[in-house]
Amino acid sequence: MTTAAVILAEEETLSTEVGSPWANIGIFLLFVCVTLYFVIRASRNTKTAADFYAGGRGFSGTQNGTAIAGDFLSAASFLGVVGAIAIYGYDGFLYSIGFLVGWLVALLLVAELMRNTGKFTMADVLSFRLKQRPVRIAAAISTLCVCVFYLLPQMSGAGGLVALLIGVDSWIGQSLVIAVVGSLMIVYVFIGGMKGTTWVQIIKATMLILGAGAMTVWVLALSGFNFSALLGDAADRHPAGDAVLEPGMQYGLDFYTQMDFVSLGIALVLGTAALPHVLIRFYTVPTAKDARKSVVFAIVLIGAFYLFTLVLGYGAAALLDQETILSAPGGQNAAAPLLAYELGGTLLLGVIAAVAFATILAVVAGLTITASASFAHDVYGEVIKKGKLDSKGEMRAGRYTVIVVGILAILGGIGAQGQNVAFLVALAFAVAASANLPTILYSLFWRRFTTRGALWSMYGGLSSALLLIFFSPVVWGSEESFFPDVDLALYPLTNPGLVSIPLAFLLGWLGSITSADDEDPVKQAEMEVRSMTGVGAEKPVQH
Amino acid sequence: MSSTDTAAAPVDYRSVQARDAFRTLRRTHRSFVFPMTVFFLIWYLTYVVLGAFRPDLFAIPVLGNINLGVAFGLAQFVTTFAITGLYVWFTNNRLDPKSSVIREELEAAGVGLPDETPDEVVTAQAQAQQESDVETSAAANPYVDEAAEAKEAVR
Repeated sequence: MTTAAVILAEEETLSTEVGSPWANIGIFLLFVCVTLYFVIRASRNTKTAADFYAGGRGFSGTQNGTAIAGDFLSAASFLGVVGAIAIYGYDGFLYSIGFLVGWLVALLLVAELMRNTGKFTMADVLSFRLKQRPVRIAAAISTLCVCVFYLLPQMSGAGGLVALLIGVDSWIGQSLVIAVVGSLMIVYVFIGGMKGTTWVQIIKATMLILGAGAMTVWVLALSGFNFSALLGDAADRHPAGDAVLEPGMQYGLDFYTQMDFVSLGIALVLGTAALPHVLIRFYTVPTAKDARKSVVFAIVLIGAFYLFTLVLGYGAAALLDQETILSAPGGQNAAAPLLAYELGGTLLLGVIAAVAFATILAVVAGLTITASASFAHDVYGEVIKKGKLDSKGEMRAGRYTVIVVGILAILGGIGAQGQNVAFLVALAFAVAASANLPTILYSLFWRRFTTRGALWSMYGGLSSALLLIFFSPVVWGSEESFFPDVDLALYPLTNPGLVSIPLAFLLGWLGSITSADDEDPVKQAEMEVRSMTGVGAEKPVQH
Repeated sequence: MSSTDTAAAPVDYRSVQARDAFRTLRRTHRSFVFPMTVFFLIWYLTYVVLGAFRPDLFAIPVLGNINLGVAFGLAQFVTTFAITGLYVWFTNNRLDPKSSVIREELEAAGVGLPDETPDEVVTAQAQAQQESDVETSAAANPYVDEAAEAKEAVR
């Protein structure tokens, strides 16, 4: 496993040994009740497609920034990074930096320009000045792929998490939990649309950051607010000694693992700004200036959060035995909950457990509304109905899609239980960076970009990323592979980004210069003027 | 800009694009975001490549148990926050004033939403346009009425 995403998808079936399942369930139910209240309240004002997909464009920069942090900080970030630092030391910290720096791409190059030119989805921007149908279809396909890759590990991870948190360890029990999480998510998104989903994200992000922040202060207090002393304690307790403070425990094996890390680093930094469920959030604010404010606020929250995980990861290494973590259900993902139990006993464990559940639920809801917007707006509304669908019809289509996506997610999550699917999160970043980012940047900044360039780049990026992963050690020939005994791994790395991202940029350029320069110059001028000035950008909905 | 003043017809975006004010805006934006992106990507990749291939460098102690690797990693946080701050300052002081002048002028002249109709419909409308100019512009852009009202208000 090479990703911070490692987390979810654990198959251990030990029963819980710490905390009280009822306390954990109780606190989680409280979260469900509070969020349901907001979702139902939001539903009263969800009357048009702009309400359903873009929350009426009425959220403030601060609210949306918090929601972006909620969308982005999945359980992979919390349980995964803390656990990776607790076990692999410094290598776990390397992930969090890629997750953070990637936001600069979103801030400087993407957020405001997308807000100014689009309506509901990424495809609105990509197809703005190119041939509508083929580009929209390609953008919708890559959006759906990224959403599915991101959804599956979250859903199956919910099953793994309950083994630790509420002591449900049978296959049936975990499947039931996945079904409950999926159904709740369907209810949230179906009723509340983007408004409801945004409120769920805001509440979850607040809980997550406050909870992690409180634990961070607590851990630092135990070492007299001396970070150096904390690092010393971690190195003393960890069997690897000082090596936990240096890179290489996870990626230092040989040249390929080192290149793998570089590949992952590139995918993380370039994938963040191209994740469809992040892009769709830029449409929930009234103006480009608010989109900028949202990203700035999100960077502050996400940056602070990853600093917390650094302290928590080394705190877990200093306060817990390695064996305790590794033998717990969920393995390295158990580091954060176990640390909470060590610090604050049953109550704090309950809070952190509820936060972890809320995290999965909220991220899954964000992905579902994105997938539904992409299908209902791009494929059904614009391609099948050729844009002749009214706002109500589009919203109805969106709601049906939510149910279908939700049921598929539940089935996929149950099917993926116990499978090693966590690599899909890293793959989602790599696919987003290869299939989406080149086309986003070219269409915003390069006048000569053509439809052929967009299609070559999107399909080339998507298929090369998928092919490389299919012929990688993830699938063939190593202990953790799907087929450990057959070695068909032609590509030596577990992350395709190093090859597929440059390839997609190259294809976009090549496809454009080899095709005639016959794209509509008026549309190009309109897109450029609108993206830079915000003239004619979608206005917030007035109720 | 007489062309946008005379009618509520769609704005000639190509002439706006060719204007000095707009070209300055575009140049100002790109002269900040492009070099800055190159800088932070190189700075980040240096960190990643060194972390992967030269762990011995990262192990050099700096302060107590804090080594060069931890310091370098925290420096990535610092530069990310600093670039964010710089960008906000830059857009507030250098970009927003320029872009709002153009936006306000165009909005006063009656620019609404773009028509999001697919190619075939546009073609059909183009044919229809030959038959009836007035009807088509209303069909292609449902905000024309609004725009006309806005123009009235400005007057």
